[in-house]
Amino acid sequence: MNTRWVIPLTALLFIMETTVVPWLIPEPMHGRIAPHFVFVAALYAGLYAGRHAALIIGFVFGLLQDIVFYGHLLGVHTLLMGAIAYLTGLLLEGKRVPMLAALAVIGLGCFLYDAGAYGIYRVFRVTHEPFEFVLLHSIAPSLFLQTGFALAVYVPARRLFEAKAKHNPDEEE
Amino acid sequence: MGRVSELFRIFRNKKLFVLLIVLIVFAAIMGFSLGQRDNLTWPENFVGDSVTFVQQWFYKPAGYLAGLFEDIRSMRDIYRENEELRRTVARYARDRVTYNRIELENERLKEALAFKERQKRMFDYEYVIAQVVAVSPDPLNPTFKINLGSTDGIRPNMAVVTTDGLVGLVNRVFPLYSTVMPITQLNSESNEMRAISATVMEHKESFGVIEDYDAQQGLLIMNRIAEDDPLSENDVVITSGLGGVYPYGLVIGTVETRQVGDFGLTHTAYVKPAADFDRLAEVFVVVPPDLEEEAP
Repeated sequence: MNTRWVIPLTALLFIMETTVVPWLIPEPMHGRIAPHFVFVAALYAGLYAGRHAALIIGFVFGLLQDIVFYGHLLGVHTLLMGAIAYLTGLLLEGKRVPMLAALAVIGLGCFLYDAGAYGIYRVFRVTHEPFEFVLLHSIAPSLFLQTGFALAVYVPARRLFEAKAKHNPDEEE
Repeated sequence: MGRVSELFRIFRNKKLFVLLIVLIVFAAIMGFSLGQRDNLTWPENFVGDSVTFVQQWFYKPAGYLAGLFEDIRSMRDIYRENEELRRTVARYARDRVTYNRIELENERLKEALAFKERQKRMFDYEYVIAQVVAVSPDPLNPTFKINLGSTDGIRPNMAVVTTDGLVGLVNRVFPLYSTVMPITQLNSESNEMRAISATVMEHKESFGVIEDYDAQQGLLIMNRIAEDDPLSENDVVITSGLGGVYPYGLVIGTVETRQVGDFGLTHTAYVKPAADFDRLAEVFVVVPPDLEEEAP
């Protein structure tokens, strides 16, 4: 597994989260649970492959989401996905991150991502809901979905991204 | 050693510098892309259309599968629904007779009053069917994509309806696909989506403006209703066509409550949307007649 697989798989993830996943979310949670699987993949890249890979994945797929679902404004997801994934890589690249710590980092990253998107929309007066409402209404339930997804793909994701970083010094496991 | 630390500092500053530039560039892009744009640039068109082209292979089959399970579960409701539909058909057949008579009379009166051709065709809206092909994964930007674009004569701000009622407005138009913004994103603070001027089916003289959505209650907010307006609870709210954006007569929802507005001069009504915004599969774009003539 290497770079050859990462981009097509992430692209497939993007297609899935915009087409199939909305049908799987139960009716009462519609508009509340939002899948950010591509962002989780970018965070895994930051954790196990390196900050540059994370930046590229976050930036490219954020841009894709921005353009394909161009509604209010462009650039929100490009900026947030790229920046948060890069930051994760900057802080934790090359460190041995165990599973629970990785899940905690991904949860925190997803919270920052949703809160950042809310902040930008609020600044541009696109939304006027209070933050407490958005937090309970959509950010918190989405967080569970993202963490669950991260847990489900932990083993394949780590294998996929760690194999990519061949220069990684502590690869003797 | 001093030189090395100085080099290091420059490097650090450079990173900060890059960060600053990135932030400024993104702020500019966001500000620039915010308002109404009639034409998108070719990279946007290319990326948007080619990705959506792939997405459409997935959304519909997934919908069929989900619908299959739903059907099995809702088997029991079908009898009741069938009963209701039969009653509706009976009512329709009765109304049809009245409608034919009124339409003929209307035609005759228009002739008598020497309506111009343009005036006659003013309310000849064309309902163009469109399939939903993808849904945005961002709850604060819940657009969905339909498989009609500028080559099909779709323009920004056209109304999008389902069989239940008004769903949203066409927002950004790509050559082959376009994004639709649901009316749950109406917001009086931003001028991105125009407010809907509305009236009710029961009282023709009623007037109000729907310009906000209360996400916490899931109700649309209809403002600027005159104090002596006959509008009351359970009335069916429809578009009045006065704003020039939405055509006349699209069902929006039913009035839940009516109360005195913020400033005490006008009344405010809370409207429950008629359309379901989730799991959309097919929608209709309402194409006004005069716009259609412009398209080649």
